[in-house]
Amino acid sequence: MLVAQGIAEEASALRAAFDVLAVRDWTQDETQARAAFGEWINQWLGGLERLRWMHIEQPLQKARTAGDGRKPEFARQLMADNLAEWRGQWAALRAQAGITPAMRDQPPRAGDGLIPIEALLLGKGHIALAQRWERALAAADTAFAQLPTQADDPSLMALSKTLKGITVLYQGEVAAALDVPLGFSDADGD
Amino acid sequence: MLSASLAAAMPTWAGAAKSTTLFAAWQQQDEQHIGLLSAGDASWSVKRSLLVPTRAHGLWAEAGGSVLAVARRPGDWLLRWHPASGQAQWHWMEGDRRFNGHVIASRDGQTLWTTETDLETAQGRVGVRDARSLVKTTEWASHGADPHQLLTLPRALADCPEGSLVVANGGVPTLPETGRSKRALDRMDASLVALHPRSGALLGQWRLPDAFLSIRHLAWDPVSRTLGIALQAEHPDPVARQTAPVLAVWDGARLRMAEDQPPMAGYGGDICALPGGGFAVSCPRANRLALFTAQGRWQDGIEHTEACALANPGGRGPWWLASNRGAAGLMHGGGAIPPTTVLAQASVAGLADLQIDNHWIALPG
Repeated sequence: MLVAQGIAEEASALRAAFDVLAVRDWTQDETQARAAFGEWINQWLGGLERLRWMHIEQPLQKARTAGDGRKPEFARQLMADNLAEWRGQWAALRAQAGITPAMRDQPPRAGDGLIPIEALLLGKGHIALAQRWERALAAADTAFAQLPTQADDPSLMALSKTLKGITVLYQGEVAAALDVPLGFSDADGD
Repeated sequence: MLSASLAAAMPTWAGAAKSTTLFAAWQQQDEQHIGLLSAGDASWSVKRSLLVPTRAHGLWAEAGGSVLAVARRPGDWLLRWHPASGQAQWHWMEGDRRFNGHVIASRDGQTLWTTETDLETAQGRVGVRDARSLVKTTEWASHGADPHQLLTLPRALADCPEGSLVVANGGVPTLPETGRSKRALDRMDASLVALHPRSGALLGQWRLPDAFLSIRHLAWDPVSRTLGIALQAEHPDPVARQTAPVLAVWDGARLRMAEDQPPMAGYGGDICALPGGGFAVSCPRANRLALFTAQGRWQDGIEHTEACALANPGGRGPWWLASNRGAAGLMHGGGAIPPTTVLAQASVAGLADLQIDNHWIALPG
């Protein structure tokens, strides 16, 4: 009960903070707008890698490297619950990444709502990259959709590999096309 | 910037260098590896390798032939690998700590030290670990954020006794939730600290006058008895970033920046001491190897595409330099600075897509 209350309070605080950001006139301060945009692009990658690595692949790797035949320990006991959570996280990331069919009929305009990453790529003239980005997202959609209810280790590793393809494309090309430097990406030094 | 004598010498082959084994980390296609590279005077190849789940960064060679590798920040694994047998011992980070990418062992081999971050506070920690089990026995404050490389002083220096633990606090504030966005760089606080090797007590802390310089990689010069520090610039102004110094030197009392250095894109990827004294700092974003005296005065620059990983076993030549991208090959050379004996730039067979990480280690034998 206390945990649920804590989560609800954090969600309310986040909602309130985002509401403040949503009504802000970003045209008044280009520096702050660029910083916020850059943080969003970085955070999206952080969210994807948290899903791919921390939630899905890391438990598999921990079990594999233990060398004693142990089972992976995912966040939830039932695989069905894990799948539901992961699909929910992917849906949230997906909403910010790709153009929906409705958007194709009526493209989003600045100030009217979310402009996803694919639309930003198209707006900057990166047509071919936007198409590859869309295909990478669609491959992940398919991978999530085809996961069996009792997903085994090989199918989860295959899902992680598909998601890693998105990470690689994002780190290598998408962020650069949006003129955003990524902190601590695999393409970076250290 | 590039000396004419070096430019003439680089493509040629001079003398026969003995084959050397280098322990390295690299990315090939989408996969991350650690492994042993065999480097000769005419070519190099992968001898043995191990697939690792995420990018490795810091490497360490242990007595007895085993090696250690640790995941890049924000990292969650530490690995001991026995290349001869293929046996691997993994340790996974739990809770609210993450590895920051470097590990070293005490002189007696009984203790490991790792740089880490407390995700709750974003403050730096030094993990003290039992070398046999890799398990953390205690931890110390690094007295800064973003601690990166660390080393033990091989001799007393000013007020720091022999064996003191020197830690580079990179100072880059990070967002604990993701560990990715570089935020609030105006609050950077990089420092070099010396800690007592048994208690972790703070023996001293030194800062550079330019707060946007991240203190990251360390090399001991046994000739001058000076510590060289490779820097990475985080200035918001691109011109300031491009022209920022890539080296600082520390004599136990003072920490000072390099002098008379031409623009090197503000990024030092690795550092090693040079035979005869002084330091080499690799600058992959400038495609140069920057050479300095032990006092931090600029000496020369050697062109080398995406110059990065450096090794100079025991402070004696030859030294070894890799490109980030395997296709550009590697270089080895010897002698004092300015180096007049760059020996070779080896070609790569079938390893064009191999991308070597920042560091590698020349193994004995």
